[in-house]
Amino acid sequence: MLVDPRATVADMLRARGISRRGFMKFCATTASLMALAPSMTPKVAEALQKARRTSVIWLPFQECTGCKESLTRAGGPTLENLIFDAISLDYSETLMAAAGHQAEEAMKNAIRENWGNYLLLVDGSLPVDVPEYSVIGGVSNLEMLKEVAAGAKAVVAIGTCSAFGGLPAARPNPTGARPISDVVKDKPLINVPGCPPMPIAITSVLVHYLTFGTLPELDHLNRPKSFFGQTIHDRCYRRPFYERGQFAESFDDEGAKAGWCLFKVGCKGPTTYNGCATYKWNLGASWPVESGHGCLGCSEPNFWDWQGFYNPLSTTQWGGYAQIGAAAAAGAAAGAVAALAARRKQRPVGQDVQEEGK
Amino acid sequence: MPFEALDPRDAGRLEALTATASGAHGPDPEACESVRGRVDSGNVPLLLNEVRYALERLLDDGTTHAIDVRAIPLGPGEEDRLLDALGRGELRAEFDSLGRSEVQECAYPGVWCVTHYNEAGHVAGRFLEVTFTPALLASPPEDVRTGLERLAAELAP
Repeated sequence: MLVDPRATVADMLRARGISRRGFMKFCATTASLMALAPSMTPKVAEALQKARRTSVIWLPFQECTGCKESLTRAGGPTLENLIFDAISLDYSETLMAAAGHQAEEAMKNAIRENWGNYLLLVDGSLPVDVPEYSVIGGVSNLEMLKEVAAGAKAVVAIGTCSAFGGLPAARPNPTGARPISDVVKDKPLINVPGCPPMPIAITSVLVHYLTFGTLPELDHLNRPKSFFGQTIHDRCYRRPFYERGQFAESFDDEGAKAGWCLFKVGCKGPTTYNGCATYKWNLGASWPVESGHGCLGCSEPNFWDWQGFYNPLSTTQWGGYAQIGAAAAAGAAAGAVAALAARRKQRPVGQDVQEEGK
Repeated sequence: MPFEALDPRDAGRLEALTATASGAHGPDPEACESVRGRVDSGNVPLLLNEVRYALERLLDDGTTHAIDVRAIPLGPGEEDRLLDALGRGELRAEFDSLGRSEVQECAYPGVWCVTHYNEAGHVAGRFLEVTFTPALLASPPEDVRTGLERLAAELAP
């Protein structure tokens, strides 16, 4: 569909025959996407009336395409997909119809025409030690990132690989994989980690930029606070069992069947900042903890090498089961302790793996 | 190592889940419950109390309130329990724009459950509104203007 570049999002919806009531529905679900209170819907409507389409370039580096799968298979035609009508996705090797020289030409045109104003999305890590391991059109990922990031308004690292190195950076890290933040130093950078990230986390960043023309508030790992502001444990519906000291000891015991806390079978919820417990997966059908498996901590740095998926968070960090039980007996106080401990244990990229390797 | 092989009965139930997960009818609720456990996060009574205080404010000074149900962490079956607790009132309205939307008055007048579906029929958003009349039920002036122009054009000689 050819779209007037001066058209606002409201113009675009109107051109599709969508009524004002439909527009308000779009605004209500958009506000929800950004984790805004429903009372903010009129503000979102006001902003979207004036919002213009934004050029987006999406570069794939050392990745498995799972992040794009997460987004594009979010559930068929959804309101979220409208966001992709509201942006101009000028280059995405995986999603665009053009290929080869035509695709490269499309990217060059988008960069030239929108210099200083486009959003750059990146999924996948950078093979810093051996750049030749990943090239597109003969250009290494490292060179391409430097070139394209130079004209970007902001860079969004989609998925744990681009945000923190992810699986390519797992031991022994044969390519010397590093996160985007190692190279992009002079542009606003937003990390949207997860393996894959929740589709709503990706769209919420785009929607925020589209709606307000600004970037969302970020935490110390550059993650949007609206989505990564609380731990899985903070928002887990099994939290009351933790408070009461009721834990599953294995995946088929009575505690597991009764839906008790999965801390002892390796759940990394207390140290993992993500929105799964609230927004869930597969159109809200379920999420790992609800399906009976502990959180793997996939939105945290070095999750693949960190402790093992079925080992409880180390007793040296958490004080052992006896202390956990005692804290749990203290009721709500245990929650505060867990939250405080989790914040103290937030890991900078690469740090603990290097320390463990010593 | 706390991980142990699944009990064959659990494996059977998980198989049932897998088999039905991609089907048109969705997962078997009984199988789901056996795996997820019966859980009460305690958030349903909290939400009902929030609605209660919002109703008091509505009557006191006309302040309206809205809750984004999908932004609250709820355990398996708790959203249904919340909606069951609120019940269904006399009025229900639907409109179709970007997928179906349903405005359902609850059993407690002044409480409305607004559910937006996407074009594939999945819930895209669910809100509890505490108000005398949900804004979505009123005709927006922009649409009234467009309708008037259309009617005038049809009546033109």
